[in-house]
Amino acid sequence: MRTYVARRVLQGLLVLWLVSLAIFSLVRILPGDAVIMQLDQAAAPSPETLARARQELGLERPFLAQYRTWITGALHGDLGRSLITRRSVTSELGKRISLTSHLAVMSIVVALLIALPIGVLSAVKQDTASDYLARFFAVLGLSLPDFWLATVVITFLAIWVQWIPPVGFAPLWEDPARCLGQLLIPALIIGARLAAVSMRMTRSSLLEVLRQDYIRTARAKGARERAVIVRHAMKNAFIPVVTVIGQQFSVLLGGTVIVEFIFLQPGVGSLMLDAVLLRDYTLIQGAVLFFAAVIVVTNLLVDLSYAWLDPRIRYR
Amino acid sequence: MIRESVIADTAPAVPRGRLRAPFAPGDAWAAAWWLARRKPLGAASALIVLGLVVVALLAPVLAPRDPYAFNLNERGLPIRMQAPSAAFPLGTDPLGRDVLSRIVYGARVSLVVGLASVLIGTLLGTVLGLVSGYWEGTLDHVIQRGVDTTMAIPAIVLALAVMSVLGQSLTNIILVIALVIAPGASRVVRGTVLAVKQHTFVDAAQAIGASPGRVVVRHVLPNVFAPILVIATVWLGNAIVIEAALSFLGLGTPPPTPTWGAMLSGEGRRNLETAPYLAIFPGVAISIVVLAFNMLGDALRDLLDPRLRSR
Amino acid sequence: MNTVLSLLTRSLALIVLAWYPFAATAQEKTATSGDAQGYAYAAPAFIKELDTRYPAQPPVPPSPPRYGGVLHFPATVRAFDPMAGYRPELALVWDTLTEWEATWYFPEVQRTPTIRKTLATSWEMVNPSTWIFKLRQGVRFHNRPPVNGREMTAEDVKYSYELLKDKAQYSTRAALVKTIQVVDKYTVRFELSMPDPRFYLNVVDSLSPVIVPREAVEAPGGLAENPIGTGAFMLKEFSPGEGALLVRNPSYYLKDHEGRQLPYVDAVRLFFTKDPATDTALFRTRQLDLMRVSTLDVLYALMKTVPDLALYRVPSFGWGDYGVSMALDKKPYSDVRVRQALSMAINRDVVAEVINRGDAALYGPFPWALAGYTKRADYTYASLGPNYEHNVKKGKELLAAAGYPNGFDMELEWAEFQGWTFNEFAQLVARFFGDVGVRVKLKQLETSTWIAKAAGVQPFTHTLAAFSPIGAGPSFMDWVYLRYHSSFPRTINREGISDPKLDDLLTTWRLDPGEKRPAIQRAIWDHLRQNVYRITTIVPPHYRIAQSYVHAGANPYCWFPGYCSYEAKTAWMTEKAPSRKFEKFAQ
Repeated sequence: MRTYVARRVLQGLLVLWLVSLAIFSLVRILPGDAVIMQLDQAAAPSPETLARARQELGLERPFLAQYRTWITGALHGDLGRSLITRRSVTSELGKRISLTSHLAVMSIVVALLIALPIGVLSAVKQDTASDYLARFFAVLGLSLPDFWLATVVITFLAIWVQWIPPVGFAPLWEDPARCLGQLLIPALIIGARLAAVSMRMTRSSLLEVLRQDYIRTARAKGARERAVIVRHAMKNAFIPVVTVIGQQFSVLLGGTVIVEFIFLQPGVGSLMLDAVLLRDYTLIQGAVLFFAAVIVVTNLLVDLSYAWLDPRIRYR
Repeated sequence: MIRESVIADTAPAVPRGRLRAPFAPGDAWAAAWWLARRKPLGAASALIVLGLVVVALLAPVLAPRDPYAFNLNERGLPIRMQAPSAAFPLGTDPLGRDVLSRIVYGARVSLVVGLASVLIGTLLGTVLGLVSGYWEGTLDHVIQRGVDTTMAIPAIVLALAVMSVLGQSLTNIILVIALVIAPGASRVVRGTVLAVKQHTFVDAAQAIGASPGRVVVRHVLPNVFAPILVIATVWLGNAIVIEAALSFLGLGTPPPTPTWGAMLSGEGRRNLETAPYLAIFPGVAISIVVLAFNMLGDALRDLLDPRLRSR
Repeated sequence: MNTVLSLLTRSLALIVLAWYPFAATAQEKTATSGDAQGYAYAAPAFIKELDTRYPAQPPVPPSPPRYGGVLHFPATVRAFDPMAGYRPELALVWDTLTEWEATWYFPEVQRTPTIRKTLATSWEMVNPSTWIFKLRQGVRFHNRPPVNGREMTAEDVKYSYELLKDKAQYSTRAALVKTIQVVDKYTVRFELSMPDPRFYLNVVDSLSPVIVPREAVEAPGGLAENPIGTGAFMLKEFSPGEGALLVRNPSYYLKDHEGRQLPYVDAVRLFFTKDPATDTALFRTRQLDLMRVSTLDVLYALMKTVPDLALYRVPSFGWGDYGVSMALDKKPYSDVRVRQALSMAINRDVVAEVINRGDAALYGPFPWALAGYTKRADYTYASLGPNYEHNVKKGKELLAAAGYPNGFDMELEWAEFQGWTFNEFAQLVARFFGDVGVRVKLKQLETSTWIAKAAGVQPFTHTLAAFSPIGAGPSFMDWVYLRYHSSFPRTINREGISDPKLDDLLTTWRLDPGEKRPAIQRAIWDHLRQNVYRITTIVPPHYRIAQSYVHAGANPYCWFPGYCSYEAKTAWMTEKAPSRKFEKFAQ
């Protein structure tokens, strides 16, 4: 087991290094650069001025030199300075991570609150009307694009209720009322999607568990159906659900971009999007590296949990 | 947004036996009826998908007007943003084009985008997964690290990079979506291959000297087929939603090609209050089709995975 | 040759606004002759309703103004640091030597650019290459460490100019300055690299260097961590991607025309919105007080749900136009007949209808006012000539004469860009070009790629749908000389226009001390509309809306894209304004 873990960790580090190389090269292929993107439309700079500005940002140095500087810094925890704001990338990320984590956690809570009861119901009453209805609504959550839902919500909230989630993030421990008011609606929108996935997973894994021998034994022993489901089945059924949620966490980090965009919540996703649009290389690199690290760690944990559950997989 | 359906199917389905059906092989109608009765939702979805294909194929016949023509009034100015009326059943868009015709033609693009990207993506993923899972060793290692790296880079960054460098076109959108599908598919296939390889019949086949190709085709592929099919069906729906998201970011199918995604994210979103019909109709179209694909995928999975068969 | 070229390019001589005194007199004449409808439109009925409801001359608000309140408006500021980049909102914290006046109680401001004396109180031309500026005394920097409210002096002006004038965003304005000398504590002398009889117009906001204190720049973190200036507001909190909070500077030196200290509001909150849906939702829920609206569609939607909004509507000087740039060094665009044919193919009435429901003005090779056309009634097809009139038959003939009887293939590049509807414009243009036989392939670019092309940094293949290159203020130098003279690189002269006759005209203009300039400008106008180096179509007006509880002035010349920061300095809010706190941004 230990060698397995060690091997997986090394693989993870290798992937992170590959990602750093890939993103470093990728952003420099994109046309345009941070200097141009910051210019006012009316500015009329000469090419020499532009070259000088690029030099100030360190963009004129050879590729490998730039990479070496950046990666050595990254290994020490310094992801460089944003080309646009000149602030430390690490501190920018830090502020955004707080909001995104809040949003992710709230979305997951919302999703579970919706998905678990419906998933259980759907599995227990498989192929009945309740099952169909439940699955229909679950899949509806997957069919409507979340950015579109976000636009509709923000527009019609403003018109009908004269209220929209306030702008200006405050963490939960500072101002719980404001934080909840701000994030609840985006969390509902994002959570609806997640709920759909989780619901189906709950349903299928519960169905599978219900056919296991130990369930039959419990029933044969005369236990009531509800006790069978709650005490024996659900606990085991939720393991894959939890792993799915874990995997979704990394999706949530990047996938909430558009909702953040519309509700003006500055999360990691919109940081990445803005950085790419402005060609802010250091910020893109930092954000993508962070994102990749989260995915690698999550995948590692998920694979480890699989290995722990199913010894056969360990020897691969 | 993009990967959940793939991840939900990571656990490979190893069939313990074949599906036994109470009808004679070759009797297609009886088979269809039997399926419809067992999975009514799935059957309904299949009908919707069929309808989509029909609309897409017969678009020139079904659309009342030219989807690219600016309809002009008596002053020679385009009839912008008219609410649904007798002349234009679903209204007109900001350039004076008939929305109904654009939705009908939009079915074509949605279908093409969905089919092509899923085909390419799952094909690529399957090949990679097969190679990786069957031969293992260094090749597996290299491919899997490549897959991991691609999955670790956010889809938005990938899409922006591809579009900025290669330009925006339908082909590149298909390419981008295929790139998003392929890594996940390859992992599923690889998992299935690894699980199948544990079964003795593979060892037996190798022991009697069957070539790797033969083993793959006869023993591995049939077991891989089911999960891939389920993934593909669901991804068909996702691909349409991703196209809409790309349009929102300004990276979608370039005009004047009518696509539901561009209609929803472009003029639909911009004029949500003054002309909500511009967003409602493509939105409904997308929802119905994605719903149908998802339910179809559900039904297929239920049918093909004996663990989930009802009592 | 190279040094001459580089000398020319480096001395982006922002010499003279000859039109300035000319237009001033013209405008005054317009005003006194009772032509209050100087900017009236020949437009459909519903626009006339706007005209009566929101007169072009906004009403003077009640007096005295009320102190207090927190003003909210949208902005896009990525870094509150003049060294990192320029944004109009920086003017809230840092002042330039002078500004454009933008208030409602100087009605003449609505027609004539008037200069407000902020840090400089007077100026004097010793000779066209030497200028003396006298600074205001008693101006103090913000009272925060490490500057601690010390007085601003000539040393600061010298320091700031030397620091900023070579930065890309200020180079247009400051490149003319060769040296700055401190004469005494409140007097600066500018030595210019080229003579400029109207140099004082160079230092009026919009991309002019701002005055910053040395201690803040040299402190750890620079200006980003120590945003100290002389401005009306002090930066309290800056949250990138979210917004910023600025509070009133209690020792600001400017007073209004009745001697009251400015600013009136306690604080300003900026929201860095990205999406128009967010803007309108925020305005509806009274979280935004002032806002720019890009099209009539949005305006009408807002008027329905916020019926008591105040609208300030002004024809655009030239910012925000819709045009097509062509690769002039390639065939067939090098042939003037082809360009004329393409221009004639476009029906500009239809473009106006689609882009902004008909509420748009025709636009020529550069702003009308710079060619001497100051009355809206003159903005007609007649003044532009046959190249701008819709004439498909003539277009086809011209193409045939140029050797393209069966048309040719074109790739039209465009992108979504906030505030414009290039999507619809590109499709329209493609249709029109098709009418004369040109087969257009629309190529949508990713926005940042397109920005690079519009900035002249990357080339485009055939044509590019983009706004015309603009000036920072109402200056012929910015709009025409820099943008059409062959000596300037592509980053300034986007298509690389190279016309010896045009160069001669432009040089004549530059060398003229002032009397003949209006005539030369008109001659250049005529030359350009004959040659159609850039295809231009229409320019929609600017709409700025305000809540009923806000009184904020504006100026038609320092408008785009929000220059003069909506005049937060002179805005005030009535008791009906929502009460807001200003301890933190997130409140």
